[in-house]
Amino acid sequence: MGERTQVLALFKKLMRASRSFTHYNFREYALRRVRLGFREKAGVSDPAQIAELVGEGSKQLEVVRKQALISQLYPQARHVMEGTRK
Amino acid sequence: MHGLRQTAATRLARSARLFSTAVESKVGTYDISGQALPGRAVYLDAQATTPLDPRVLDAMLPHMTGNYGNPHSKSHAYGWEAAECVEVARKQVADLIGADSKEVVFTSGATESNNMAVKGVGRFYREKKPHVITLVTEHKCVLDSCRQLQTEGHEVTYLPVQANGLVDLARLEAAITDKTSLVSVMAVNNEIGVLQPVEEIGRLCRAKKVFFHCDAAQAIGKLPVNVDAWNCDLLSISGHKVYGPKGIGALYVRRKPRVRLEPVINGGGQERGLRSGTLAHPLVAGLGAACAIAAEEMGRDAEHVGRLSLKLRDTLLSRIPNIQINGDVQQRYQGNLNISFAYVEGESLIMALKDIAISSGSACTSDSLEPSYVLRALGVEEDMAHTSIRFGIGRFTTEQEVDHAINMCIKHVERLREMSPLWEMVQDGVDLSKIQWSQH
Amino acid sequence: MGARSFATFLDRADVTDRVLGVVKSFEKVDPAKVTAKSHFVSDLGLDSLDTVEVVMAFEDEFTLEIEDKEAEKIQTCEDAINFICAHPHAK
Repeated sequence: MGERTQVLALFKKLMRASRSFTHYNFREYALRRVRLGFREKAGVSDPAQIAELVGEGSKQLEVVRKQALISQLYPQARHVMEGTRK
Repeated sequence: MHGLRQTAATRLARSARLFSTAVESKVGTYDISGQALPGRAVYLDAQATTPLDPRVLDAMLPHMTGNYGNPHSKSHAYGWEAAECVEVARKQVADLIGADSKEVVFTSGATESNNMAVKGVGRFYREKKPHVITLVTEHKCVLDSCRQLQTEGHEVTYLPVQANGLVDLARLEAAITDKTSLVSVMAVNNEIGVLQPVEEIGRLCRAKKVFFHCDAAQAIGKLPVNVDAWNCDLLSISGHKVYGPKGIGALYVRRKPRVRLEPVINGGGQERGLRSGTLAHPLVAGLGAACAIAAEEMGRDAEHVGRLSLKLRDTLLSRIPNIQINGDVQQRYQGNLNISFAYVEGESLIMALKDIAISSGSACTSDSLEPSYVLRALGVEEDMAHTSIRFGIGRFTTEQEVDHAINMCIKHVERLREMSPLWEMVQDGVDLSKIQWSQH
Repeated sequence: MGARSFATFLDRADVTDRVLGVVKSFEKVDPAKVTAKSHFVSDLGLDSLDTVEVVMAFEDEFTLEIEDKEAEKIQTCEDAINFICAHPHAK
């Protein structure tokens, strides 16, 4: 798998996992933080560095998945910023 | 099914929802203390406490499930695992403040750390150096510990602060004598957010050979803290102010030159004899993880909080007349904005902003009807002190939430002022300070 | 078409409408600039990460999963329209 494909695939998985937080503030933070994290490293070209970053990112993906699951297990009432349901 | 048509309007609405993050809540209406609320409020009380970062919870969970050993059990793997967890966390805390692991003592929170520092050092040096200096704006636990020392025969100087909340270094220098053992000054004030000149205070104390204790609970993770740059000998840390768990904190105790103190809690001699008791290693792990994350995220958090805080401050200042920011505008932590809204009662405003969680000052003093002692120390007039609201912005605050707070604030301040006869008089050009209010 | 697969191919005009709708509602995009030929990066000023998010939105809109190798090839609205029209399970 090409590096670029790998990185974009990881980004997508992290975004999907972040979206699954049921808690508004954690969800918004995770999305913001993932975007920020990937954009910060957009200029990195050294393959060894990229591999290391992808490794770290994969570890974070596991954390996000676990914690998003926990937030689903212990949901809370809707946050006022989540708007009205229709 | 095949070729099902949707109207353009519903399609656009659906598309917009794809990029929104609204999630169906499975829980029903939100009922608390007999009040039905529209939903969980916007949390803008970051100085009272912060949410547990999911990454911190992740670090804690193994120790609350399988790794349940007592970290002081020396004879089996359960104990060794828990002990290792404690030492990893100790290093994480030490790294954040530029200290050595051996200088970090775990406590139940900053209140305990402050008690340990003030009473511990005060009592150790009670014979030769029975004088302690602090500021009138310190946290209650420091002030009360000083009062306790006074009942034990100590002399305590409570230095005033200037109108901007900062201590006058000349007055501090003048107050130090050869009988002074300790100066205790917090870095960032929890009520108004001002940042004291800690480096200068540290340098002064070092020159005068007096110990410097800094309550850094509100500073940790928000701005760079370095015990050597600050020349501090003791430093208090709170877990739940830095997205860690409640019930855990730490006290940095310098080893070179050595700080001696009498322990407040006696027992089995844990934590170098300074703080006995079995360590709650899941909480310790949480504090360590929170510190490690804080080190990594400090720059990003500062940018985010700074941007949101500036927006809140500038918009409110430009859209609402007769408001003031309490405390120095520059020398502060941006995530704490304490604002007085003239002619609006603080409690009424808080109740009007019912879908926003804010406070009118220190959580520790919110039970009494007295206006905040910190604001009084700044010389803020009593009526203005009653109108103050503290906005606390943190890592998890969104721009959407800040916009909402701004709009609600503008709307309700206007509405409350319209109902205020005082406001009407001010609008008519009456000078309220010249009025002789009659008694009935 | 072989065994019964319940494949339903969507009408191209409908797909076009929906694809453009998704792109227009992406916050970083100026809806006035969006046409079927728009290139996400060179015309609409998005970067490769934004493009991933746009493709994710297509996945949600049409209830399908787009493999990474296929997703990389979707760089314009037209690419998306072509892909979805050719997909037997798009809704």
